Amino acid sequence: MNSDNKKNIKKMPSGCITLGLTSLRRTMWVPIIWSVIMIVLTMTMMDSMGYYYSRLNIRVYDFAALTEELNELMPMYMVTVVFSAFFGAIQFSFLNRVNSVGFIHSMPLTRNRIFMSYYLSGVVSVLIPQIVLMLNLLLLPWKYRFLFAFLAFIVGALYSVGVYSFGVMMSMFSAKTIGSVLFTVVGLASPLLVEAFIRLIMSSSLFGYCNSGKAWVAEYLYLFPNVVMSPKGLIYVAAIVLFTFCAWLLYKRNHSELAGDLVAYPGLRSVATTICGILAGVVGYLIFGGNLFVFALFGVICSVLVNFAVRKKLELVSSLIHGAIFVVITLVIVSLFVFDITGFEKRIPEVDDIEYARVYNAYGHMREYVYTEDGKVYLDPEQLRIRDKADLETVRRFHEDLIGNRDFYRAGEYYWISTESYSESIYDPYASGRIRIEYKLKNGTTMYREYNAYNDRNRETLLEMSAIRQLKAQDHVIVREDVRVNHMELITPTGRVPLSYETSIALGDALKKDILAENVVKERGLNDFRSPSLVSLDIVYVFTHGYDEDGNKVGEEELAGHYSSNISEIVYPHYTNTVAVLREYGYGRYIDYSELPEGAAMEIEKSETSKRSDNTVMTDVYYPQFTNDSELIQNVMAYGFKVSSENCATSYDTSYKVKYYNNYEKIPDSYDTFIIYGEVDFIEEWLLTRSPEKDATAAYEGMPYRSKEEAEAIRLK
Amino acid sequence: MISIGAENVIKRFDGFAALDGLTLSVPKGAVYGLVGPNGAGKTTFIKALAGITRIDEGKITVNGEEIYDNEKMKKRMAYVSDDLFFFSTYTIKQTAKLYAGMYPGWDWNAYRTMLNFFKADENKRCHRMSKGMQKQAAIWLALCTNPEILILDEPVDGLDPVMRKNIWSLIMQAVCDRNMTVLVSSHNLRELEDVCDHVGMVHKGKVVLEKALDDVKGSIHKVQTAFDGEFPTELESKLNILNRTSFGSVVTLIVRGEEDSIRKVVGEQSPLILDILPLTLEEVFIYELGGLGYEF
Amino acid sequence: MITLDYADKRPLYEQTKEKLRELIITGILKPHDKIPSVRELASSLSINPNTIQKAYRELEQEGYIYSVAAKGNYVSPRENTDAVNSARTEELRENFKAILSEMKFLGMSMEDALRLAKEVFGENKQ
Repeated sequence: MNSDNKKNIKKMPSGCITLGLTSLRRTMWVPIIWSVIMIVLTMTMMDSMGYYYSRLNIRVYDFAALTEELNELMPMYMVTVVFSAFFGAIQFSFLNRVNSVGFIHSMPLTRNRIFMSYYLSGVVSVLIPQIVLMLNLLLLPWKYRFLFAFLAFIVGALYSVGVYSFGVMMSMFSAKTIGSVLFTVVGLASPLLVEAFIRLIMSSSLFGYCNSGKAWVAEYLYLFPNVVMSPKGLIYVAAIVLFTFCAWLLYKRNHSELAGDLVAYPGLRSVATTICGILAGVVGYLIFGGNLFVFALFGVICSVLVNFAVRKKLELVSSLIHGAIFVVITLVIVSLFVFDITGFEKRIPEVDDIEYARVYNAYGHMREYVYTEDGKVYLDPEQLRIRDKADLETVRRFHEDLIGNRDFYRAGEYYWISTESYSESIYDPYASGRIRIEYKLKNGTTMYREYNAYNDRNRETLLEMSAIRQLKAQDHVIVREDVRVNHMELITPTGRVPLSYETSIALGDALKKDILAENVVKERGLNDFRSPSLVSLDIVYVFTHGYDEDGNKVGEEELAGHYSSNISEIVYPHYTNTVAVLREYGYGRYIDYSELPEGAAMEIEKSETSKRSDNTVMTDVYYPQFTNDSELIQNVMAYGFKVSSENCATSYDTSYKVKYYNNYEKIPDSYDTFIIYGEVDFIEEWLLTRSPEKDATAAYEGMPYRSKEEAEAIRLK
Repeated sequence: MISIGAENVIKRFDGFAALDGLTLSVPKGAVYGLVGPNGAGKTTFIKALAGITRIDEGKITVNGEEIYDNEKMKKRMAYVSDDLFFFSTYTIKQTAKLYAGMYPGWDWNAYRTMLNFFKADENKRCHRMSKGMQKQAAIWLALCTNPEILILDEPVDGLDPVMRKNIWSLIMQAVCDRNMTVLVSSHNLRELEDVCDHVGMVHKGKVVLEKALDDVKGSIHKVQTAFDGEFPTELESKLNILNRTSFGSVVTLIVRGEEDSIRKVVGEQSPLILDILPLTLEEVFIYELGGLGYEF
Repeated sequence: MITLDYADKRPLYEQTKEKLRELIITGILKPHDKIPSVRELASSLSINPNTIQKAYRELEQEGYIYSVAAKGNYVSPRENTDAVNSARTEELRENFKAILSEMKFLGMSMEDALRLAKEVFGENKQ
């Protein structure tokens, strides 16, 4: 009777359970240490987590917010990834020694059962710390802590089993434990490394390459916890199945006689050597900041070393072959990127293939959405999209012109345009000159390019670009079709003047017309004079509509109630319509300087440059001279100033730094500065009366001397 | 009934054929010695038989079924390799528990008996024991699984004479009691002479000679004889002489044939002395293989 | 009961036979005494039971022992002259002749030989 019972029990795969439990017991120390670390981390964060999120107790809980909070557990998950990888890599280490693999494989269990026993024992081991984490999280003082703890367990389980399965699979490729660990670590890190490599090589070799910022690997591969809980997380489930299946297949094809070899399958030796070489080259390339020679050097050395380690002897012929393979790989990369055989750099899509284009400052803020109390509202994207065929032709010409800067840029002769004032304008001479062009193509893809634009080299095309409405809309929000002026205030030298609703509307329309008609580069651009403006408008506006995150249209009411903004627009003398309206309402005097405010004053500091024998220049600076003579001031204002970049290679002779004070007595700290280049007769006359002395401490020297012709030549190069 | 069979087994490593058409058969209840020089392929074959390595061509069967990945058959086999393995922290008792969970034939009574007999400490870590004690333990633990077939690779290498005797004693008991089949490999024929009843000689991946010991011993003899005068040349044609050496007038002949007929034939020549001596197994193989053209 | 000399080049089963014969001849094992079973001997000497079996069969043929089914092997009484093995007696004759040749060669006399024969045969009266 007893033996019969025993026989029935033996019908279960007891061998599996025995072996599985054996493995579990022997590796128990790993999950124990790991669990302790998880507990320590969780308890450390318990306070901050508990307090901050206790507010959520009040709100109806929201799955998306809950899963966002899972991101707080990143430290625990990173520990999980490290341990899981290590555990997966060593779980099948019995395959790496002749005596242990002989022992295990001579046991009365099919290979499938042996695999399952070890594999599942490992799964149990890596899940234990996740259970510990889950139980620990129940200590949080949240209403929904059970759900949160459970979700945390699911995410942890996916990470741990996923990385563990990956480790098991990679460990099959090596019959040496150190090899298994190495292959696992390298395998996990390689997507990031390869991505970084591609980005770096493209941005350093391909002119115009734009790092559009999307981190592909982080987005699609190494998912964040909140993403893991979304449908995207199914990729982990698929990965677990795939890795386990591959590991099983590899295990079945294991050659126990090769225990101790670095690469477990003789046919894969060359593959392993080449891959290691490539990764070493990538690492070297990244460490040395993009040096292709280092890439080749590291790659060849690593290929030879790995070849030696894999074959266990120094075979001259195969070393040479692998070295040669590596050189070929380097050449391929060089020709792809450095010589641009794919024609990346010169490619400009045809107008017929473009759905729309966008052009903007690479470091600017595109203002694509605004925040309201209920979340993000996306503004009408059409305002920034260039669709008109003629405009697209202009963009293409501009693009081509920018491509023409390539050799100039590469020769290192580029210069930085100073960024003293932050502006979204692409053609503001004082703004950063890094332009991004984006083409949305009819085939659905998007093409990005990024270039430096130089206000003198690319002058003509910048000029043409400045006429495009969508670009004006970036700098002047009231030009957008989804913007309505609410009211305005006039800022004059003497103070703020609130305007009536009708005036505001009228001015708004006039300003719109003027800006649209304005030819910026010409009217405010380089080497042209403009007169300073004493007047600006403070405009309060609203967006008429937007779109919420689900795509539904949101009306002005929602936007206006929660969001309004204002902007300042300087009224330039060439804004004829605006000026006309202002005159109508009696504010014209500020525009033509016919009347200066009380207390207006000016300070003029002259600089004089002379050529020295060593072809450098010596610039003498005279002490600034102060005046409140209104006639002189009006003349200087009317004369206007030359807009120029100080770092341009212009010729130096005389220049005047002018400080204009609206009200010197009352607000001595408030002034505008502008620079006038070239000798001005009436200013000289006046200065003669003052006989200013040189300020030795302000003098400077050493800049190269250039004549007017030379400067011109350099600029046009 | 054949316990272990191999048919034209080929196993290659990196192009080199370690097993090159090996064929053998071990009857049930036999103690079969697999002998041959180092590198001949004994361990390779045994590993394939134990189900550790896959073969490239041919068949290895146990009780008529192919053995690779054959859980059912492996449950009835026990294998002790010459490079021992124990789990690193395991004691004898823990190893016994592992076997108990794996092999349905495990017998705790036998375990306790053997533990006593060998005076082993079941709570001592296997790694702490001497190599000889470890080997001994591996073998008697294997015997506790009551295997139908026992496979031993260089089992007594490293054991002192007392240990050897004890081990073989146990094995012989099992052979008597349960008709256990034993396959034992060694490069030392002297050791196997007393315990084997079948022998297979492996050379360069093939079994070049396979015989039941009775046949071997009965078919080849050492004849020591001396004649008054010259050595009679008729003997050269009447007898199948494999080897002939002389020391003074004493001639030692290695002759293939039946003892009685040899005695009669030589006796006809009226020798001064005639002794027919048994050959050791070693000598048998040397002469048999020499006769087949194998060089050592 | 039986100890073997491992240094002896002869196969162990030969030695086993010899030792058993000796024990029977010298009377240590008396007629109808049970000799060790195949299993006991195989186990204590660490020899293959088949060879023990063969040795016992040969001893049986030589007339030294007889077997009883399922019970074991016993020493034959001397009365059993039918079972005398002619091959063995022939072997003994040859061995004796070889010893006598050597004695002659070393200068011993026939009288020496006869005296020895009388000694042995005198003890064991038929």
